[in-house]
Amino acid sequence: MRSLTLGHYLPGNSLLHRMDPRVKLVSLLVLIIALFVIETFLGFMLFGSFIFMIFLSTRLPWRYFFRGLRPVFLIVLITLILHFLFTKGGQVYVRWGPLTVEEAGIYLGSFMTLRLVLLVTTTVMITLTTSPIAFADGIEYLLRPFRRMGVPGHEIAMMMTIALRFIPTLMEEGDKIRKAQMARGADFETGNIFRRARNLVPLLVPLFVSAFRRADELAVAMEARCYRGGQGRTRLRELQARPLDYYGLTTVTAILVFIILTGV
Amino acid sequence: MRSVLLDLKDVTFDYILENKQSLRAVNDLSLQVEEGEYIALIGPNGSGKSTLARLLNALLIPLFGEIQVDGFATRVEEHRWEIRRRVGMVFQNPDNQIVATTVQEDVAFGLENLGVETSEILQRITESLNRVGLSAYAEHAPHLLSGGQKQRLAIAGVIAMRPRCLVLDEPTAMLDPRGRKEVLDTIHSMNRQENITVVHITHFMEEALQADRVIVMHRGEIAAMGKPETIFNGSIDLHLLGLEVPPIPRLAEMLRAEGLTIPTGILDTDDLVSYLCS
Amino acid sequence: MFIEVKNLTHVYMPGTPFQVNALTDVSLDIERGEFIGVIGETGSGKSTLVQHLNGLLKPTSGEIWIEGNNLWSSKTDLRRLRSRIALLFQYPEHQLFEETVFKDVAFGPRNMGVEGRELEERVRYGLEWVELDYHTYSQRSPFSLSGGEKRRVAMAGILSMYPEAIILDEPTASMDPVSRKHFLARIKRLHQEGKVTVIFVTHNMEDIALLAERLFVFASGRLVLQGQPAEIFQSKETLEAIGLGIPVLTDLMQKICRKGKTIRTDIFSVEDACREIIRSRREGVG
Repeated sequence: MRSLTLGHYLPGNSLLHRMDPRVKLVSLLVLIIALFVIETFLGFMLFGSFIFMIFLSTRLPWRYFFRGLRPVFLIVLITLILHFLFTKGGQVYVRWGPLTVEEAGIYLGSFMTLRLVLLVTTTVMITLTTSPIAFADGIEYLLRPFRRMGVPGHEIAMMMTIALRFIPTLMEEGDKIRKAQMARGADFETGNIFRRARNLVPLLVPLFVSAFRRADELAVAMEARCYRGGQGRTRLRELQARPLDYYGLTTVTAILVFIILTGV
Repeated sequence: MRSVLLDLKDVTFDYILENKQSLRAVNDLSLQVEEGEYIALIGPNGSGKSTLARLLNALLIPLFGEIQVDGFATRVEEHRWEIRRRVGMVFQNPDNQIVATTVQEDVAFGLENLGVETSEILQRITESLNRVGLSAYAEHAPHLLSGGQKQRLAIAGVIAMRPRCLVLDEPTAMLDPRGRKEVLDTIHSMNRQENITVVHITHFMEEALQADRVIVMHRGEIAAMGKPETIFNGSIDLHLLGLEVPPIPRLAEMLRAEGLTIPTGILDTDDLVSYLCS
Repeated sequence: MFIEVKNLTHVYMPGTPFQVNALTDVSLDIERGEFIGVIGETGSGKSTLVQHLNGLLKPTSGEIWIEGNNLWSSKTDLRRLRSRIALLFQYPEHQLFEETVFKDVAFGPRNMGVEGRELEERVRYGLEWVELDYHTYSQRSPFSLSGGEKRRVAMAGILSMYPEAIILDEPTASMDPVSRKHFLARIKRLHQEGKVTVIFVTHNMEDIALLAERLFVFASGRLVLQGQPAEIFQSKETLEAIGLGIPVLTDLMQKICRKGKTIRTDIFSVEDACREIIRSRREGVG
């Protein structure tokens, strides 16, 4: 379960925390585009220092930041190695049997790695400072224009909320079922991978049955409380963009424009 | 004369089973519930109690017969939302009726569905959480609450919609004594102070003792109905209906059979003590 | 001594902000053949305690001894132990997973390596105890049964392991009065005829008063009272302060007693109460 921390929300009160989730989502999109437009190391330097400054302002502990990076570490490493070994061109720096590391490889490898790291860093920073519920609200709002094309924005957001609500409940339940089966002599800890997978059946079947039962009951309870989809619904927290949000959006757009115009 | 809030006429309901056979859950049942009444609905498993509860707020529609809630027929599709805002439901499992990730958002859920203005929602959240004693928990995650608190949250979510009637389907079945007491006190105060009509389904006979009227269900029909004093005074063989007489009325009955002079209709420990010691 | 708990302390998630001291310095003994009631409100530590008795939880500190052997010494076969000291969780119907009732009831013994004839015999034995006919039920899917039947199948799945002791964690929750009565009668028979040690976890005083020989009362992770039910129920105030109560009839008898009548207060059944009141009246007159 620990790996789920990619994007785990950490409450706080920084500027970034207080921004409108819609603005954060749009800004994230703009920044990602910017990252793919950047063509020089100088561009990455500037972009990186911008992200670094924002990160400092959030006062998040560093370890959460690195924890967010951990799941993609392997991908970054593989990218780097593949480029080093197989992108050819320019001066040859290392020769080791049939393998060579050449100038273009080092250049492109570092370039791609930087892009990936900055991409993940920016995303992690946004997810660390945005509650999942705010995210759901933001997505629901941003998908509204696509409703006519059949994109179920409200339903997606509602599903996210319910999933978040029930993750702790189902984890607790899973633990209970695991213990109940262990009390009947079930073994979840030994054996090879196939055996272990098969041994999970006594845990997974009851867990699924339970999840379906809960879903049924929840659906009835929601209907009883007058739920009928997104139409005519008001919200407890209406999203409201404030000056801060406009400044933020202006800044990231300016960054994108600057990158395109100067070609850094 | 109080007005009739729930009016059931010759109501029948069948479930269709997987093998296409039908199972009769409620059979030709008629009942009138007055505004402000506290009804306890008892009966063994499978007697049709829960089905009746779901019929009352149009989650199920009768096969035959008619149900009117405050003048709105459940059969008419356009009436359903009017009915559901008037009849609030609380279910047995506290976990499976909480939708949102914080207490206040869950209270807001029903109001959002009704399209209530944001400022009004905030006010009603404060009000409802106060009524059930959860004000201090507004920002909490529901899964961290105790069972009794979760059920009170469910009640808050329902009363925020300002219903005329609460239908509770075994709301205390999964709670410990403290949780049960919290929830029962909340239900009773809703009934007394806000004059909200209560239909309370329960397996605990002690809970039925405090109702204005007890309805005993058996095989989809009303097997007995009356004040708790008459239902539990031994004149009805509850055991035959799959139920038990609570200990105090049972003891009073037994002592009477032994020749002691004890009036009928004793439900309370202190009453029995004072008769025995006078 | 069958089960000994020595200075048991259990802390959930130690060293995190979520740290909970579930049990603090609990010591108790259980003899073979006893009927024990473990009572306390939700979160009092009673469930944590019983999960230690068959090694599902490991003590943070303290020891569990089973028949003179330390449970957490290296030579204990935990799976074997769990078949001897069986645990039935709350809402046991949620643990069913097999295609047929037979297979589900056989799950426990099969994990112990039992097969063939003996396996069938054990399944029959389990189903017999819960009064489910072997021919009618063994090949049906457990998911097609009613709630009450599912619960009985789950119980059979425990009994088929031929346990020496059985721990029941709030087994009567959400049962209707008649099913509850049948269930309690079955447990009583299991204790008396089956010679099984029973450890019954509950917050229902009415249930436990009629059954248990000895009670352990928990509050906030500590063992606060222990003794025979009649002794325990003398401490009405203590019990109420920790979110529990005393049985209705005991309460009645105590109230009569307080009015100056000479009457026994260790009464838990309506029949006994009636007899005692009549007796006390006659003596009072005579």
